[in-house]
Amino acid sequence: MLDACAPGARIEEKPHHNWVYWKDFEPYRLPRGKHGKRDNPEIETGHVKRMARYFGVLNCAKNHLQI
Amino acid sequence: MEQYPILFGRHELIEGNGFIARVEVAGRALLSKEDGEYWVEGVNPGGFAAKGTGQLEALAAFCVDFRLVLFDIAVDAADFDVFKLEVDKFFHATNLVALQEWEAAVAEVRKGRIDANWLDKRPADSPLWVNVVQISQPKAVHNQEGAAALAA
Repeated sequence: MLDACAPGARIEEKPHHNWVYWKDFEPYRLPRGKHGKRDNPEIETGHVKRMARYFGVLNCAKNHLQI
Repeated sequence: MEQYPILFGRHELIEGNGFIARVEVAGRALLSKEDGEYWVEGVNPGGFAAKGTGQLEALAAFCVDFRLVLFDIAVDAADFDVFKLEVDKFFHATNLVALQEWEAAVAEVRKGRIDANWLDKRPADSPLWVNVVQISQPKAVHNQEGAAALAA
């Protein structure tokens, strides 16, 4: 989704979040979950939706994800 | 959509690389119900969100995640000045989409169409601020609990 809707976005892993950088935005922090694991895709979809809102690319994201 | 404009306050003690800092914020967030769950999106600071099965659980998760973001900032901050700068940037990054909905929700509160009797009300134009202080002389009087209120 990022490649299509936020081209050039890059991700940096931090202890508790993945920081997603795009354009001049302050990074969006996607939680990694306890111990750095993210094993519940349903939760992650909701967070990805909110990230798409933050970056202003929700309409594009809806074309690529079930959100 | 069920939405609540939230004003929140947090006071966090963060251990950094060679320093201890107190981070105090008066921020705002948007609490929304979606598909049977509650989400809290940061408006200021933007850039993160949390969820819960109920309003209070979602707000609690948001507060936990706020602290975890500060932990992440502290990991890479070489010193207090860098930490303070990065926290300031984090707080002042506004989630513009959530802000629009937050302001619309405030209007609904003022019309009496939204209420939350489990929250105090505070003026929506209450000052937003962040204060990052390096702790050199700890004092118990500095301890403060967080709070949340409905922006009205």
